[in-house]
Parts: sequence; structure tokens; C-alpha cells
Amino acid sequence: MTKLSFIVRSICVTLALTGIASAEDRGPEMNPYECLGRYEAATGNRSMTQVRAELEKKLNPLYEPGEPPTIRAMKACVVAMLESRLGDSDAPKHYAMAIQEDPEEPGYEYWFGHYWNGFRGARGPIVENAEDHYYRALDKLKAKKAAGKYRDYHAVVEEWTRKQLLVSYQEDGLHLGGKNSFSISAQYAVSKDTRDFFRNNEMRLFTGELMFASSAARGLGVDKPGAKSQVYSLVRTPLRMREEARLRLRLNAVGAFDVSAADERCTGDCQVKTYYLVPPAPNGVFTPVKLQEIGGGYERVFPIYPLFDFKARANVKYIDRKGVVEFLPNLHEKFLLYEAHPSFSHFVGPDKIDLDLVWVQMNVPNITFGPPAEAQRGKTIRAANLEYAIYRPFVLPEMRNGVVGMHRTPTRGWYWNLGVADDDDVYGIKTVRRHDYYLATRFEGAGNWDLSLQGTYSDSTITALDLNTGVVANDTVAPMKSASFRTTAIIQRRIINPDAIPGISGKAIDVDMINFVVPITWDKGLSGTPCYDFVSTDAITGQPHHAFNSPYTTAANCYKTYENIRGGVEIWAKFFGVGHAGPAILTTIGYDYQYFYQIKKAENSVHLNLRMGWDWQRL
Amino acid sequence: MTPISLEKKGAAALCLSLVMVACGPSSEASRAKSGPIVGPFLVSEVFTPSGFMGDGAIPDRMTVSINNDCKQPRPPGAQGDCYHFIYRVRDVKWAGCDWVFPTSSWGTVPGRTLIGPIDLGPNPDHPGVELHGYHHVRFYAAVDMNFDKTHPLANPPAFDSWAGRIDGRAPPAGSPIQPYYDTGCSFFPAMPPDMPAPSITCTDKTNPDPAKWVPFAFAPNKTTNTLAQEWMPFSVDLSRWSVDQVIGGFGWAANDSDNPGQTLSIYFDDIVWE
Repeated sequence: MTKLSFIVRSICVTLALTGIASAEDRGPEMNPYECLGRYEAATGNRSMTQVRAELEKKLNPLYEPGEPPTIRAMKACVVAMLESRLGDSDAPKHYAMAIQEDPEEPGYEYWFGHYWNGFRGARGPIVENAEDHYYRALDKLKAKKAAGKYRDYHAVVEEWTRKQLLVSYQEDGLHLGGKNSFSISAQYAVSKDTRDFFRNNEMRLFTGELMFASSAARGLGVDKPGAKSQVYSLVRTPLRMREEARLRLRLNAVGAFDVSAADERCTGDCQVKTYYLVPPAPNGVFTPVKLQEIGGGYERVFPIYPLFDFKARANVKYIDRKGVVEFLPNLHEKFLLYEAHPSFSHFVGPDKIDLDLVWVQMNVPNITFGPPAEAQRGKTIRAANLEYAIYRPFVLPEMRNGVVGMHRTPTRGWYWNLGVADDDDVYGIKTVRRHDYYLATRFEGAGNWDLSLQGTYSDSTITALDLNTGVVANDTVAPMKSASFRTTAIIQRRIINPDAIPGISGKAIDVDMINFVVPITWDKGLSGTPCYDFVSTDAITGQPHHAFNSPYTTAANCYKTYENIRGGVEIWAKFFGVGHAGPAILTTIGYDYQYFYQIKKAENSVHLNLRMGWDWQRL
Repeated sequence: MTPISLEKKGAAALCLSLVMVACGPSSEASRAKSGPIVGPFLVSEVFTPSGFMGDGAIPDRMTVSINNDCKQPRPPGAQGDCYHFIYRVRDVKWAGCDWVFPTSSWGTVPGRTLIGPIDLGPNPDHPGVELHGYHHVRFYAAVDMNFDKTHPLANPPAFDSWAGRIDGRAPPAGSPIQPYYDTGCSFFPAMPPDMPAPSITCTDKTNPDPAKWVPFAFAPNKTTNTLAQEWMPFSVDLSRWSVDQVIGGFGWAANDSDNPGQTLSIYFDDIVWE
């Protein structure tokens, strides 16, 4: 922020004085960065109440009698920026007034575009509005050049405009033209990790597998030779790979339409073929999983103020999945997946509240044989996330000139999230229900440090219909009920801060962001139904033999078996590609060490993601 | 026509989104009809062949294909699923399979409640409760004598078949005890002059403590038959029983005594309680 301010102030000081009276008495030629300079002067080290007072002063009256249009444009622009900061819905009106008063100045178009790109929107900018202004800014810059009125500061406007166009299209991928054109996105992910690409809770997964394998529905206990190894082997890091490509047509008047294809493989110790025989039991094997999908989608952010900004996003995908059905590793399941991700955003003064909803329906085909009551299959995922982002400055301790004092400090936001997710799998008259409830906070500091802390309560249970009585209750054959708590802390150091780089160099590869990230998680088992344990007498030794035969955990405490702590390092980097036309490329690479302390097993996980274009939900 | 305001569109989007996210899976109760099964029924619509025994309890020694790789043509008028078992004989020397409810249950939970088409009169131990039964379980079975082309079976193999007989209280050695078992009443017909009236046993009174008397176990006799290359109709007699709750809907077993060490390819189809 400091670096940005320095750039802006330098530009303002050196160039604002270059105002030249226009021939048509439109007033002096104004440097549009003076708008930013005046805004910063009105907001620097001020509380929001004081900023509000500054705004009121500037609005009453907005214009003095006899002021030339370029002065009026500047005043309207400053008011619009202050309103943006305060979350007022009048900001677009004043940006439009600035453009109307000084229609030849490209800088005001840039600022208005930046408003749609940087302030407004719900989980994404309002690209359609932003690109309108950015392209008008470029047109006006061209006109300035043609008229010989292209000033030095216009070069800065041009560079910033091109950078913001790249930012507008960064989720689209490689943007092939101006407005109303295609973009190509490509993503590659590879991991050898206990977590899947969707970051599902691995402790819950392993616990569920253990409980199922040792339930009355399967082996009645993990009692095969080498039982310790069976409990061990469920903790695994299969090799997963996913490639995804997307063609997007973004039409300014309508929104973005997608056609996509993806191929995903999970090999090595991926899927347990049958829970009667968890490897390394004799004849027990892990089998690979393969998934291919093609789909179409739509997304657009609609500004519906004064209500809210609304992001409509929906996809339909055709899935061909092989390897996830127990006993039948070669069975292909072909089905349609429907997903919708509406988001809503609204300013609360200078702060912002976002509501994100997720609904996914997978029409997994029913089993074509056996009792009809056991045939139905399906999966539904529902989630809601409420985020409150505090953007007002905080009074924080800070060292200035060698003295620590309390100073009003702008931050990149202090975010609070409250969410719930519900993941239900239908197996005939049974439903496997998984829930997550979380509270999270993320402080993106005034400096280059960010800190996130999250607590997530996760549970899993199975409900079933009793066909004799018609009563729906917890399943008694394989209760598989468990609950755990995950504590997550993420410390992030911004080595290269994208906010400090408003322009772009035009180099072949331009580094926009590098973050060094340290994620730490701790999974703690809270409760659960016991694993099945049948005690018999060993025919040879005469000693009691436990069906749940693990030297480290008991059947009663099997919900604690996969407690673990995990810590790692990650690098998140964003590059802009070849010159100004290049796409954004997002790279994540990480290593994690995870220790399952109840069973004394350690796993090393690595993952790499390369993305040219992306969906924020998948980041 | 008055255009719809942005506010109304936004409110509609929010309401629609909230309604959509509220849509979860259908309730379990709506996915199947609950309550007792009344009258004749197809075994494949209630029970699953998941209770493997003998060599069959050991993976890869016996496989079953359902509605796939069945013997064609199917028996005339066949209904429900068809089954193809391939049993590779190993050291246990015998194998079998029970169709059970629910899948994989050996008595962990109660069996399926059945009300047969035959009215057998009042329950002597529970006045007011009517007893119902079935005539038999009928089915078709066949063997592929030439499954191993180089070593065709020398003799048509014999096999046992049954219904019920699952008792979680008395599991095979090494298996855990379970609380539930097949229940019904045993009928011994009237044989004048020694037994002028039928003898009906609905309660197991072997325990001297009446508080520990429990429902009688439904355990009709097994039948032994011989398979043939072509479909043959068979049945398990249930005429001396009323039936209440059943875990085991049908079962069969075969050993290798007729064809030592040879793989058996056995088909079942059209298994019906009636």
C-alpha cells in the first residue's frame, strides 16, 4: 500500500501541475491521478466517521458556481472514490458524472472500471461493466494520441488499464480478443496426498472406512493376519492427477458460457476393492479410480443494487466414473452432475458481507439388480458460507521512526466466515450423511503477513429406513457414527504483493504474486460408535482373540484411530504470461508432513497445481 | 406490461437460491414401501445373495454374477434376477450361499416380516394374532457340465437348498453371536386318533425360566436334489410352517464329492415364495 501511495503521489505531484487550459474553456487539463491523490488525502489515517464527514463536506455543495467541467469531473471522481470506500451505492452515479464532465479523459474511465473490478461484485468482479470502461479508456487513449494530447501520465493510465484487463480476465484463462471473445483455460494438478483434490476431511474418510470394514455389514472386525497393517494401510497417499480444459465465450451483454472437459486418475493405493478384505489381507487389493467429464456452464455477476451483487453460476457435467463401486472395480458409472453456486454480496458501510451457496446433485445410476429398496444411488452436496469482511482501518501497534505507537492502519481486510456443508450419499434406503460446521477468521495484515484460524466440527452418520416398521433412524448394521474437530492455522507471508503492483512490465513472464504459506492442521476425534469387536478363544493358544485387533487403538476408541497433526510449506505464485496479452498463471506447490500419532504412522504429501484460468471455488 | 424491477429480480434470485440449497436427498421413507410383505414375492426383490459359506466365504473361490452371464434362455415365465455362481473348489471342499435380508446380515438386525397367502389360524401363544404361511419356495437351477471344456463334469452334482434357518444365536465356530434369527411356528398335522388336532409350536420353551421363552426358530428342512444341464424346477417345502420374520430367504450349498476338485458353474433363476 505504501509503495502504491508513493507511486501515486509522485505522479500527482509531478503531473497534476501540468494542467493546461483547454481551448474550449472546458477548464484546465486535469491529471486523473489527482483524483486518487485527493482521495488518499481525505482518507489517510482517518476513521470511517471522519471519511464520511469529508464526503459530506465535498458533497455540500459538489460544484461551485462557474467551475469548468474538468474541475467538476475531478470533484465528482473524488466523491465517487470516497463513496466506494464507504460502500455507498451512489458511487457509480458520481463516476458517471466525472466521465460526463470530462468525456475525453481516459483516466476517469479507468477509475470507473476499477470500481466494478475492485470494489463491486460477488466472488468475482463485475467483468461486463468493468471491461466496458477499460475498453473505452483504451479508445480514449488512442484518441488522445491521435490528437497529440497524450500526456506522460496517460502512459500510466494505459499500463494500469491493461493490467486491470488482465486481472478481469484472469479466471477466464488466455483471453483471445477484446470484448465478446473466447478464452482458453487449462489446469493441471498432481498430488500424492492423504487429501483429495476437493480437500475432503481425510480423518473422517479413513475413520469411516475402518468402521465400515469392521462393521456387521462387512468383516465383523479387522481381524485378518497383520491387523496392524490393515489399520495402517487405510492411511494412504495415492497418486492423483487431473487435467482440465475449458473454452469460455464471454459475451458482454449476456455473461460467460463454458464448455469444459476433464480427466482425473487416482492410482496406487486408491480405492479399497472390498471392505471384507482391507489390504494387506490375503486377496485384498486397492484399485484405481478414473473419472472423465465433459460439461457446460454459465456465470455472470449481476449488479442488483441497492439489494446486492449477485453471481449466478451453474454447470452441467456428464461424468464417466470407474472404480468407486465396491466389488466392481471395472464398473463404469455414467451420469449427469448438476451444480449451482449462487453468491450474494452487499456493502455494510465500508465492510462487505458475502453469502455463498453451493448445491450439487449427482444422478449416480441406480443398481440394476437386487432388491429395489437397495437400488437407489445419488449424491447431494449443499453448503452455505457467510463472510463478513471488515475493511475499515484498525488502530494497531506500529513502529514509526523507531517508536512503537498505536496508529490507524489500513489492512487488506479482516474476514470472518461462518459456514455449514452437508454431503449426503444415497445407498438405497440408507443415507450416509456428513456435515461440517466451521468458524474461521483471516486477518490480512497491513504488512506482508496474513493469518488464518479455523475450527471445523465434522461428523458422519448413517440413517436408514426400517422396512418392517417404516421408522427412519440411525443404521444399526453399520452405525459408522463419528465426530471430529479440525483446527487449522495458516500463516502467510506475501513476498510479492499484487496490490503493490498496479501496472505490468510487459516482460515475457511477469511475476505478480508470490506467497509463502505455512498451513498447520490438527484433527481430534471427539466421539463415535465403537468398531465391532468379537472376542473369541484362539484354538491353539486358548487366549482371547479380539476381532478388532489393533495394538494402538481399541474398538471402543476407534473413532480416535486417525487423529493426526499436519504441517507443511507451500508456495503460491501468480505470473502474467507473454506481454500484455498473456494470461495469468497460478501455481501452487506444497509439501506436508502428517503424523497419525495414535497408530504412529507418518505420511509425506506433495502437491502441485498449475492453472491458466480457474474457478475460485476450487482454489 | 410493467417490467419487473431489479429489486424483485434480486429477491427472486435469493429466494430461488435458498430453496435450491434446501433441496437435499429424498427422505429414506419415500424410497421404498415399508411394512410386511404380503403374499407371494420374488426372492430377488427382498433378499441378496451375500451370505457366502464354506469355500465361498474366502474371496475369489466363489463368484456370483447377477443378471449377467445367465443361462439362456431363461426358464419360461421367469421373473426377478438370475444368478450364475462359479465355485472353484479349494480345501474346504464345499461352498454355498444364503440370500439374506438385509445384505450381509447373519442376525445383526431382525429379518423381513412376511405375511404368507395361507391362513393358518390363531397363534396359540398370542390370542388374536393370525398365523400365515407359504406353500414352498420354488426355483429353477441348472449346472454347466461343460464349463471346463477340457474336463467336463463326470457326474451331475447334488446340492442342498433351503429357506430360513439363519440363527444368529448359534453361529458357526469363530463367528460372533448375533441377537436375531428367523422366526415362525412349526405345524405338526393332526393324525387321528393319536393327535386329533394339529400341534403348533410358536414359542421356544426350552429354557426353564418362562421369562426367557422366545419365538420359535423358522427352520424348514433342507432338500437335496441333483442338478442337470438343462433348467429343472425345484422347491423347498414350507407347508408345515407359519412364518414371521426371515433373514434367510433362500440358500444352497454343494460339495465336490460328485466331481472332486472340479469347478462348478451353477445357475439359479425365478426364485419365488408362494
